Amino acid sequence: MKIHTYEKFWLAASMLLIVGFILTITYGTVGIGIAMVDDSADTVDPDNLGDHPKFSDPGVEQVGENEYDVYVRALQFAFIPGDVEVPANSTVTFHVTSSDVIHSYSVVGTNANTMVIPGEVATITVETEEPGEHGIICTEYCGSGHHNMAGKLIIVPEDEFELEEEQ
Amino acid sequence: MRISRAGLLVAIAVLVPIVVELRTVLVHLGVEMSVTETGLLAAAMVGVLLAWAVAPDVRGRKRSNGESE
Amino acid sequence: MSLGANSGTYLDQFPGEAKVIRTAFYSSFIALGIGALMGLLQVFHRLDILRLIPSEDYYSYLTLHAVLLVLTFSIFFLVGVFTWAVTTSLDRGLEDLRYTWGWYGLMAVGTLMAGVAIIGGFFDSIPMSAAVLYTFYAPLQAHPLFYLGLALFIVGSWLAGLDWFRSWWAWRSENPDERIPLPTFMALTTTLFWIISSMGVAISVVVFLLPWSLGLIGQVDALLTRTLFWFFGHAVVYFWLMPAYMLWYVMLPKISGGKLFSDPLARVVFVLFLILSTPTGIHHQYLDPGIAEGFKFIVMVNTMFLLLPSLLTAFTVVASMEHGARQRGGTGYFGWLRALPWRDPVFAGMALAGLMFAAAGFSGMINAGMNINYLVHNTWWIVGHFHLTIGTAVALTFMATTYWFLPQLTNKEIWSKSVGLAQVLLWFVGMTLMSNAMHRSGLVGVPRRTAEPQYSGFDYEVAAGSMAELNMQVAIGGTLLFISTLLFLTVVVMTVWGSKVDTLPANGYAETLSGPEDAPLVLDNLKLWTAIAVVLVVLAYALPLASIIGRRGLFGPGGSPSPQFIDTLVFTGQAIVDSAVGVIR
Repeated sequence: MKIHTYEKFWLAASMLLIVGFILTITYGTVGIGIAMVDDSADTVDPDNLGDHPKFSDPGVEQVGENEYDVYVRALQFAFIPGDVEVPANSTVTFHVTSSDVIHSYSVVGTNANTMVIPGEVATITVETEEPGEHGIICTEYCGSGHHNMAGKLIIVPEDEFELEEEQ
Repeated sequence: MRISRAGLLVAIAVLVPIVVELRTVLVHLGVEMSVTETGLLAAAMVGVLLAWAVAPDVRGRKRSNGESE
Repeated sequence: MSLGANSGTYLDQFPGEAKVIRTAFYSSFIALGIGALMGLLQVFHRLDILRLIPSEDYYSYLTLHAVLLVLTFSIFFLVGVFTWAVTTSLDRGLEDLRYTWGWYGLMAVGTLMAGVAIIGGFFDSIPMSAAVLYTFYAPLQAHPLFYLGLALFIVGSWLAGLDWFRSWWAWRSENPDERIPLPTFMALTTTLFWIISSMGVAISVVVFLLPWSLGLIGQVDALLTRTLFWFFGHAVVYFWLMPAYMLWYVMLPKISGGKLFSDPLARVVFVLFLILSTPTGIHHQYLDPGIAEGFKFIVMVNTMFLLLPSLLTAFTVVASMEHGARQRGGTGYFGWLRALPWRDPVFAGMALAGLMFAAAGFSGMINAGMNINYLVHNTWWIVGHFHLTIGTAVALTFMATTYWFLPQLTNKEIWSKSVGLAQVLLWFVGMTLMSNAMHRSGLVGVPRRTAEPQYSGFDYEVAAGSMAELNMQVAIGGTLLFISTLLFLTVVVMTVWGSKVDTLPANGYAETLSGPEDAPLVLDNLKLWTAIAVVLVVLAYALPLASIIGRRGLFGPGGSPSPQFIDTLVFTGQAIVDSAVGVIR
């Protein structure tokens, strides 16, 4: 097959670019440790979340010295709980599931972002930094009230954080 | 004219994304431009382009171009 | 390749086929007009400039906009283009025009059915709605007419592909030793991956969604139907893109005044799309729980390699344009650009569409990066991205080449080339403003697919400029795009109203610098490439699908009110899948 000289250079440069991209992504995964949402959590019954040990009473719980688990139920058109309060400089793992259709759980302007699919528990772990407030929205169209589905992630200073505040 | 009128029009259109993107790039270099300033910059760039287009070709080469009107 | 031997316009050569193509084009343009109006209304609604309807109904706008533009407008146009390509390059008419009208009819009826179901959503008196968007993710449910319409439309497009194959089979039996002409090769490879990929959505619609919407089965699995949708959902974008690529390969060099740089490389590009288009769909599901990280990684690698044919296309297209410019007397490193026929809207539109596609390629590379994707997934960034691909690379190429096709199909001269040029430039400028602002909004978290992106609890932290400026950019850009669409439709209507002339150039397409004699014969072995494509699809999808069904059953977790016999079938199937997965692991 006849390939012109310039074409060969272009082909080589393209392959280099592609392999380069794959390497940087591999580095992001292995080196920096940016984990994908995956299938590690067991499935749940979306029709009977009331019987689930965690999702029947979703909210924040402390699981280690600086580690917190947050259980969230998404439904048309709200998150339960809507506002999530966690301390600064801690490791927070969200476990989110849906009791009806597909939603998302997205902390606005960050990469803390996951689809929420009925039957699956999406698990994402984030490190909180300084105190402040972030919007949480559903970015997957879930029905006519989709645009009303929002909550807040409130990061408070470590010394002001009290778990009992959770209602 | 060093360029056909249609070619000039296309060149001006292509300036639009350049100006829009330039503004974002400049912000990351610490230069904030307001919308008005961006508009002025765009006008200046179009002016330079027009001046280049109507100025006689210094190298004096004749463009035999079916497009020039 | 003896072009122009059979001189005259396409209408002179193939009057019957010209009529089918014209009808397909007009169907496509009607969809374009309505879809563009929906787009304008959406821009005004989202930005809270003008809200004509309650926000709850916004999603019917959105569904209509997407279905009419990405399915109806693009696919009606491209079946016309491929019909032109096959008949012109084989220099023979279609085998049976009654069959051809049959698939056109199926597609038209399908569109009408889906359209009626969607429009029903605007009126309370019509007990029908399909506000499920173009992705129709279950458990959101549409009226059965919507699913049935989509199914008919897709079957119609398969029959169209078969039509082109019938022409090729007939031609091959008369020309056993000849290479497949390049345009036919492109139409056939595209058809093959279209059929492979749309199997996914066909199974999802026919086996699950349609029976479910009719009440025959109680529930469907959200993750399985979603995965089957994306089995088709990425390849479909290449179905829209391939005719645009074909036009860049076989038409742009001719309009530039030169020849296509390389026939062999063009064949390689289309073969790569055939084998790689489908096993990449899971990259739309990087954020989905229930799919293992390993599967996502494999798909990311496939997606990155899919960059290769697009990068090769960029080279060949620019090289062909430069060759054309130099034939026209262009000189210098960049000076040759001036010698290109910018006055011709066919050329200017295609060249600008190609330029914007380069930008779209860059944002696409970012989307494909599975970890950075978490920042932009489901934000307005994505909308900015695909308005550059389907909304410009494809749509602008289609509109620009209409200025070439319409005279060929009607024997009438384009009403005004100046208005045509203004139209394509307006599209370019409008899309620059709109898409740029969408990308930047998405980076700060502005979501896509929402009636009201204004939330009360927080503000978006814009890096450069302000949110108000970005919104203004979208409003101006969207308005320019709508005006451009109106200009386009005006030119089409005025041209069709004009009278026939006999001074039009003959039908034809670009010759090549390196012809098919430089391309190895194996490239034309469609059976081989199809087999490889199927193997790659099986490799990429067998395990994810088995794993989803193994975890969740065929109908999803939860109380399944499906009939007993289905439960039994599922139980048996699941046992087989479980043991298969066990063996493989």
